[in-house]
Amino acid sequence: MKKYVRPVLAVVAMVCSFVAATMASSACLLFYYQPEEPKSLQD
Amino acid sequence: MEKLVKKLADAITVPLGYDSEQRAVVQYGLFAVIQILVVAVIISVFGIVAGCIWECWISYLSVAMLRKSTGGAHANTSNECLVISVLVISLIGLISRYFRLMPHALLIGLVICPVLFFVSCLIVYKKAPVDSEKKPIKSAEKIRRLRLISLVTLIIYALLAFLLFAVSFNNLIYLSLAVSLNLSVFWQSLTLLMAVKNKAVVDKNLKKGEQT
Repeated sequence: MKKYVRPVLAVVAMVCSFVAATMASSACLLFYYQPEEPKSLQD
Repeated sequence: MEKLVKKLADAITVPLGYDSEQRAVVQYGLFAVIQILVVAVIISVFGIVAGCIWECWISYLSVAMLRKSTGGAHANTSNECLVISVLVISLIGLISRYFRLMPHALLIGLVICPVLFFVSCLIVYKKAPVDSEKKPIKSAEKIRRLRLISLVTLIIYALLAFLLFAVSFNNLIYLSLAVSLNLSVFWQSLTLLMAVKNKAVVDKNLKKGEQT
């Protein structure tokens, strides 16, 4: 069971990074709060 | 919600040995995912209970997709954002659902909705995209691209609204969906105006601060 934890976390991290990159190309997040954008995603 | 997202992001990235910047990116994406899911779950539950789930989902999707390219006013905290999002979407869902029960609902809808839509288009055309302090948009190319996406989104919404009104003559259920779409676009254009006004006040205060 333990050997699956790292790959699962890696997939979750990849999905989150993909969503972050998608949101970075838009004007803001989808709803009414905008957290600080990471430096690497800024224009 | 931000604290929870930070803890979750740490739990994901620490075992993977990510550095602080990679962690920040994962946290940012995770925040967006959780925000989308939480609002979707709450409005779905509300929609099922109040009998207006389709209207709520039309509002949810149309506001989110338009907001992505137009930007708009922001809440100060993530919890405030959650409350505003759920309240507005639920309210639009409810109004749209019970609008069709009014006498002459179709006629009123056919008069009011195009006017609201036209006003919204004008606001989006003039003001979009509106950036924020935490996410400034500096590149002229990005501004042009976001404005174009906003206008294309509005054209798609207009076609969709037209189709929904056309089929409303046979079944009034579709009138609710058309009204929901129009109200959502109008609300989103109002948040643009609020954002522009807030930005103007902040800029004015900054200038005053610099002068003193």
